[in-house]
Amino acid sequence: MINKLFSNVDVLKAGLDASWLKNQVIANNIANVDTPNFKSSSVSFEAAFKRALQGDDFTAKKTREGHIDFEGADMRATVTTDMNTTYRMDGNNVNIDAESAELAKNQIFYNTLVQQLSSEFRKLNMAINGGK
Amino acid sequence: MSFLSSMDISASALTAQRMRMDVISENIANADTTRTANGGPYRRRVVEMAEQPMTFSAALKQATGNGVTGGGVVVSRIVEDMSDFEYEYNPSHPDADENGYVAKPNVDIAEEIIDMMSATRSYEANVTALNATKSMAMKALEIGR
Repeated sequence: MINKLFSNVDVLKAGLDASWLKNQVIANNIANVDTPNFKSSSVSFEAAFKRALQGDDFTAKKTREGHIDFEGADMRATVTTDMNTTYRMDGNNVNIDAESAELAKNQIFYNTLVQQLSSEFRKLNMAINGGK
Repeated sequence: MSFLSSMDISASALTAQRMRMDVISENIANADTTRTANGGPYRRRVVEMAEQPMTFSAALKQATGNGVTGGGVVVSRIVEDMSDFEYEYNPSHPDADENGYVAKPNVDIAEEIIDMMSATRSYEANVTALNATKSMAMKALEIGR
């Protein structure tokens, strides 16, 4: 029981870490908006996060050491670089509008997680104090 | 996870864009300079930006799958625009050649102003990113309040 107490907190923490990483990647993309031949990166973790939050532990059945898990099954954010597209003549593929939107979205997502985390702690606090 | 490295990334871009702005100002200021230290009229300068090389620790982190991509942007060098000078007929000018033509700098004011607008917008985008990081960090301090 006691180690289940903070399982939600752990999931939320992983979400915060991933969101922070995403912010970093977006900041780097925006910083390099004028760099020739720069290729933008992105972070994907939302799908895995959703699964983890819903407690849907749909994992790959591994029968051998070298088997690969389903994508994002371990809740780790993955950074991918889009090497195949070009947005401008200088070989750069940063779409500044999309990046700005992602930045704003990610910020809201982060704030949501912080709020959820706080409420999680409030609930625990209430339970400890016997609802007082 | 290096806590505030996103801010360093945005700050590096602010520095780079400011430098670009400085160079543009220099170009505009020298749009009529016909005499320079190395002879001849002023040559337009352009900044060249490059992705900041990754530090060892960042590369190691990336190799072990702990995220981290890149460390921002840096002005790698300032190059001179080697396009031709424009010649203007003005025999009374002290720098006129024997035929009365003066070589004018290869600075196009309109081009510089467009470049300047682009630099301003990029600067603003990076300020927005910096503020986003800042507010996220401040929000994180509220956890458990």
